[in-house]
Amino acid sequence: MISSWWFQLYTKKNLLSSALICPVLILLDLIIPDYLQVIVIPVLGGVFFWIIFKFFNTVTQMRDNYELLLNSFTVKEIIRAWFFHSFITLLFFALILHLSYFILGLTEGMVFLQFQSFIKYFSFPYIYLFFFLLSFIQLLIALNIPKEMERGKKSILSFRSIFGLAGIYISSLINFIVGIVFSLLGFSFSSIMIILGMGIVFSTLSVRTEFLARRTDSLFAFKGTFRGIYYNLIVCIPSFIVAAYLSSLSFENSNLNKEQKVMRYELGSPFVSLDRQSLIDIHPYLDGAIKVSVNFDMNHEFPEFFLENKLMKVLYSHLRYGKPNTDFLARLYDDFEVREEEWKKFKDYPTIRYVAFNAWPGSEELPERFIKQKKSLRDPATKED
Amino acid sequence: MKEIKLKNIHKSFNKRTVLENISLEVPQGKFCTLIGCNGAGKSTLLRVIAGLEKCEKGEVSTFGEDPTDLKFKHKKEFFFIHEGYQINHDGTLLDFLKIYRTIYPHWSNSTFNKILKERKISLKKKYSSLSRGQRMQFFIMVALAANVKFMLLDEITSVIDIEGQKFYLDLLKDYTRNGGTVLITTNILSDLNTYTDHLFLMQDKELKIDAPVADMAEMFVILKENFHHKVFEREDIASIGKDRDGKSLFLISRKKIQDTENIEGLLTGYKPSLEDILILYFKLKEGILESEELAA
Repeated sequence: MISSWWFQLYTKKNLLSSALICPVLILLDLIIPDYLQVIVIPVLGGVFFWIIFKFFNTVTQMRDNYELLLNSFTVKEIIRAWFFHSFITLLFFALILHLSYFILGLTEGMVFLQFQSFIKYFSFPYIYLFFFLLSFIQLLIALNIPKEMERGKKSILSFRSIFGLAGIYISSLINFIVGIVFSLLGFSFSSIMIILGMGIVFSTLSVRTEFLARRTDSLFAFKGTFRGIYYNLIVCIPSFIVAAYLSSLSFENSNLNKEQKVMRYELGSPFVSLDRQSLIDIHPYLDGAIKVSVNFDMNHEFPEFFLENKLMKVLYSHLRYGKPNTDFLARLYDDFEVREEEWKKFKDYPTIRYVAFNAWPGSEELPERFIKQKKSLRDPATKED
Repeated sequence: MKEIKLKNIHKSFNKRTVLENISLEVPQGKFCTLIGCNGAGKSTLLRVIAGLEKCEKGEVSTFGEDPTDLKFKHKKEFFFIHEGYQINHDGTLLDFLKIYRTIYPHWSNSTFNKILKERKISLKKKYSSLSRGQRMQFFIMVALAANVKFMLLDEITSVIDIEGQKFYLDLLKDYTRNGGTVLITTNILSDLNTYTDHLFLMQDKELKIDAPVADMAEMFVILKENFHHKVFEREDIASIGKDRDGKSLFLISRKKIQDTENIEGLLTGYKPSLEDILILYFKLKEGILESEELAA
C-alpha cells in the first residue's frame, strides 16, 4: 500500500507536513520565553490551518489531475486511492497531534497548557465540523446533478448513492451532536463516521463526477480553499459555541457520573462554573487545565481541602491566576510548616510553595514569622546541586 | 478481436452534436492518422475511445469492453496523450517516472533511458517548469517505455520542436512495426505524410474517409499537363502542383479514366501523397462529383 502511486503522489507530502507539527511545538516550547507565551496559540493556529490547507490542496491536485489519473486507472481505483489517502492522512494527523500533546505534557510548560486548551476548546470539534460541512456542501451541489444526468451522464452517480451518502451524513451529524453532549462513545463513533464519510463523499463526488469537479472549481481552487475555510469558520465557530453551551447546560444535571461530567466539562468549560463537589469529582481528569472557573470563593478554603483532595493544580491555578488574599496565604504558609511531610509527597510542592510566597500582595507586609520561611525558598526552576 | 471498435456512436455536448453515427475499426499494428478541420470532433473521438467521454448512442469497444465501464480492465494497455493535461503537482519528472514504473506491468527501463539520453531531458526538472512541448515529450517517452498496446495521440506534433517531431514520429513508426497501434490526430497532414498507414478523415461530425493509405494511392494516378487532351476538360480532376520541369500535375481517379483513350503519354508514374488525394477529395466534396473511392 505504501508504495502505491497515490501514496507517492499525494499522501507522502501530507504526512510530512503533518509531522512538522511535533517539532514546531517542541521548538516553540524551547525557544519562546514565558512572557511571549501569548503568541503560542496564533502560531499553533497557523500550523493547524496550514496542515488543513495542505490536505485540501491535495483535493485540488487530485481533481486537476483527474484526466491524467483516468488515463492509467479505473474510476474504482481512483476512488479507492482517495479513500485510503484521506483516511491515512487524517489518522496520521490525529496521531501526530496527540503525540505532540503527550510530549509537551512531559515538559509541563506553559506551551503545553496553551496547547491543551487549544486542542480541547477549539481544534478537535472544529476539525470534525469543518470536514463535515465541506463534505455537506459538496453533497448539496451533487443534489443538483439530475439535470446533468438527463443529458446522458446516468452512469456517473445514481440517486441511490446520493441518498445513501445523505443518510451517512445526516446520521453522522446527529450522532456527533448527541455524542458531544451525552457520551464519549457516541462522540468517537460519529467522528470516525464523519472521517470515513468524508472519504466516501470526496471520492464519489469530487473524483468520480467530472461534472462536479468542474462545478466546484471555486470551492477547491487555491484561493477557494481559504474562502472555504473562512465561510466554514463563520458556521463552525457559532456551532461550537452552541454545542459548548448545550454541554454546559447538561453539566448541571446532578445524576451525571464523573466520566459524563468530564465529557461535558471538556466542551462546555467556557460556560461552566464548577461547584465544590464537581471540582473534587473531576479534577483528576482536568490535569493541566490553565484556569478552572468555580462558583465558590477559594479564599475561604483551608489547606486540607487541597491536600486531602489532591488539588495541587487547582491550588497552583488559584495562586498564580486567582486573587489569593492574605488570610488564605497565611493559613497555607502555616500548613506548609505544620504538615510539611504531607505536602512533600506531591512533586509540585516546591513550585507551589515558591508561587505561594510570591503571591503575597506587595502592598501588604509579610508577617515576621513567615520571613524566615520565604528566605529559605529556592526557585524550583533552578537546578539543585 | 479488434482493439478499438466503434459502432454508430453519437455524442453531443449541451444539444450540440459533435459525433454522428460514427463507425470505425482501428487496424492493429498500424500508424493511423485522423484528420479533420478544427471542431470536427477528432479530440472527442479519441476521448470516447479512451473512456473519458460517454456516448449517448452506439457501442464503443476498447479491447472488447466499454472503456467507461467502472470495471474496465484494460487501462494499463493503452496510453492517451493530449495537449490539455492540466497537472497540478510540484513533483519532478523523476517522481512521476517512479510512479509510472510501478503502474505499467511491461515497463521498459532501457527504452526510457535510451530516449532520455537521446533527447537530453533532465529528470530533476519540476513538471510545472516544463513547456507544453517538453511535457508532451515526457508523456510520449512514458507511453513508449510502458509498452502499451496502443497509443492515442491528440495534436502532439503542433507543440513539439521540428527535430523532436521527426525523432518521436520515427520511434512511433518503429513501435507500430513491432505490433503497437497508433491513432494520432493532426491538422497538418504534411507532418505525417510518410508515416501514415491508415487515414481517417472526419468532416461535419461524420467519418468521410477510412482507408489504408497504400490502397488509396493505387486508386489515383498523376497526369502531366497537356491541355490539348480532353481528359483535362473533366471536372473530377484536380491540380496538385508542378513537377521539376515546371509542368503542372493533375490527380484523377484511376477508375474514372480507365475507359479514356490515349493517356499513356500523360502518366507520370508518381505516387500521389495523402495531401494530393485530399486536395482532390475536397474538390469532390464541394459537390461537383461523388467520391465513390473514398467513401468510408
